[in-house]
Amino acid sequence: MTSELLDIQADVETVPVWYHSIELGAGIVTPGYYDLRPIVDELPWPDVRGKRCLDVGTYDGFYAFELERRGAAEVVAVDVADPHDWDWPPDAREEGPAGVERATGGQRTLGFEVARRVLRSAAERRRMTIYELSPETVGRFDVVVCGSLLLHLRDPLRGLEAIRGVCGGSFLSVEEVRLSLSSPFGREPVAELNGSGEQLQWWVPSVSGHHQMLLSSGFEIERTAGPFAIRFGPSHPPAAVRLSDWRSLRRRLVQRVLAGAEGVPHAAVLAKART
Amino acid sequence: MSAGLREEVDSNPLWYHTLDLAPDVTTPGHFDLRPIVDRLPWPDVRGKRCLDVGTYDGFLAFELERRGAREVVALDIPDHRDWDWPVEIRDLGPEYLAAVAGPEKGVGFRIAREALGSNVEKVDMSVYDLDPGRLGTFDVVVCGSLLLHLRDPLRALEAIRSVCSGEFMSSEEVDLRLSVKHPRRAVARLDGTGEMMQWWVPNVAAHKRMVFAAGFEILRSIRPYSDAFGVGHPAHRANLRGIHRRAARILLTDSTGVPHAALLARPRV
Repeated sequence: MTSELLDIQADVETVPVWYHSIELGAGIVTPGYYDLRPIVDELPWPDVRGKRCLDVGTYDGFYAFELERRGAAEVVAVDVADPHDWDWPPDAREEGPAGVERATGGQRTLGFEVARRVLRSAAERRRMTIYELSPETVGRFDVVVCGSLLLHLRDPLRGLEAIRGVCGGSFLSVEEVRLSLSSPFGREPVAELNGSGEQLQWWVPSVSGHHQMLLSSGFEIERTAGPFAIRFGPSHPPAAVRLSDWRSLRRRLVQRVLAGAEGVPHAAVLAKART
Repeated sequence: MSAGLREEVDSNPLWYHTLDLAPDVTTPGHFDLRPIVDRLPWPDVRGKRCLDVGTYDGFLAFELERRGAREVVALDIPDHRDWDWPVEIRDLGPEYLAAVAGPEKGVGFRIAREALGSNVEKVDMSVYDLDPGRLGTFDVVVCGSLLLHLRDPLRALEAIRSVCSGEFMSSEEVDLRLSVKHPRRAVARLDGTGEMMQWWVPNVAAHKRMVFAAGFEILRSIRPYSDAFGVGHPAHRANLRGIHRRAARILLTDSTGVPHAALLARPRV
């Protein structure tokens, strides 16, 4: 390894937890919780060349760097910096943020910074919640991307309305869906509610429920893709495999058939603001 | 005396609740809660400070008073514009409501309060703005058929919890089909478009989960029942699908009308 590669490897290791698996070049890939690389080309991307683009809830920046790679003229990436700003359920509000601080060594933005430097990216990261997006705070964008965020919001519809407020063109929404609630025949616009504990999950929709969230926030749907599985990366704790548990086996089988792989089932929609 | 009252009742363009205001004067409400009111899981309200959230014409507030509450505060939004309107009818919705229910909100409550000689105190406020710093805390809070009209029902329930020092009785519309299909999973149907002004309609398990997630524990619940339509409700067109639905409703809730679930809870966090 050249000294430059060694430096990059050393930089990668300074980040306590990587959320995204990101290719930094020369075979170096960050050890993420989630690996979006196998599905990134399945997403219903709009043409982003020369466009002003926004990535909402960027974390380590996978989508932001992908937008840039696809030719965006400008990329803004927003995320909350302080875990206290997340929508914690009341019963996790005291312990939750401290748990995240411990797991990430208080350095939730370090991954983005390291990746940005190594990739020589010009993406601009701003500290902001989805709810705070407005034409006054960030301006308007030709393309907005948001991935795996809505399930962590108590009010996903308010979040989507804020996105609509700054989206002058296309919106690519990639969200976790419940396959067991998603009927391949007919519409079932539903969502399952959790809202308790440090998993920080509120509403997880069916495929139709995801569409309905977008419709009720003032979008119309242009194209869809999925469902597909977002794979776990090397940082993710292995999923508990209980061969004796029939329901867990059945779930994995359904997932294999419907989403093509194991991981977290997601669906993607390309939408635009309805006028 | 009744003649004057009847004239006042007739002057209100839309009654939401069916209320017995005098021996021979009953308001022509959209909904009639009288047949089910005694089935609700009421806590003991005698001598208590009580709050009714989203009171509309005040049925539950007057009922709290009748059951011996020491003090009753009734909360509602002051203006048609204060509803959580879906994006696509945010401009037209308030005009539509003003046309069918009259430009002024709260007329029915005022007529009923006076006719009943009630001491219920009306406060103009959204459920989202409930705060112990403004209204203090309450021994008993009730809220009926409101959450489905809110974009963020969990924020509303948390606000209720912040002012609830004792018990909370929640009765809400539920989706029967989803309740049968998913008896244990908390699943809600999302609309969020159009003039029905409905957002999330939970199944029975999701109603409980919403209240739990907002930081309550459930003390008891009753099996689903129907809020009957009152004489003021527009007639429903009968068709084959409608008949199926009505048959299922009668089977599961003993009546046609809007299927509801009710529970009694208390704060856990």
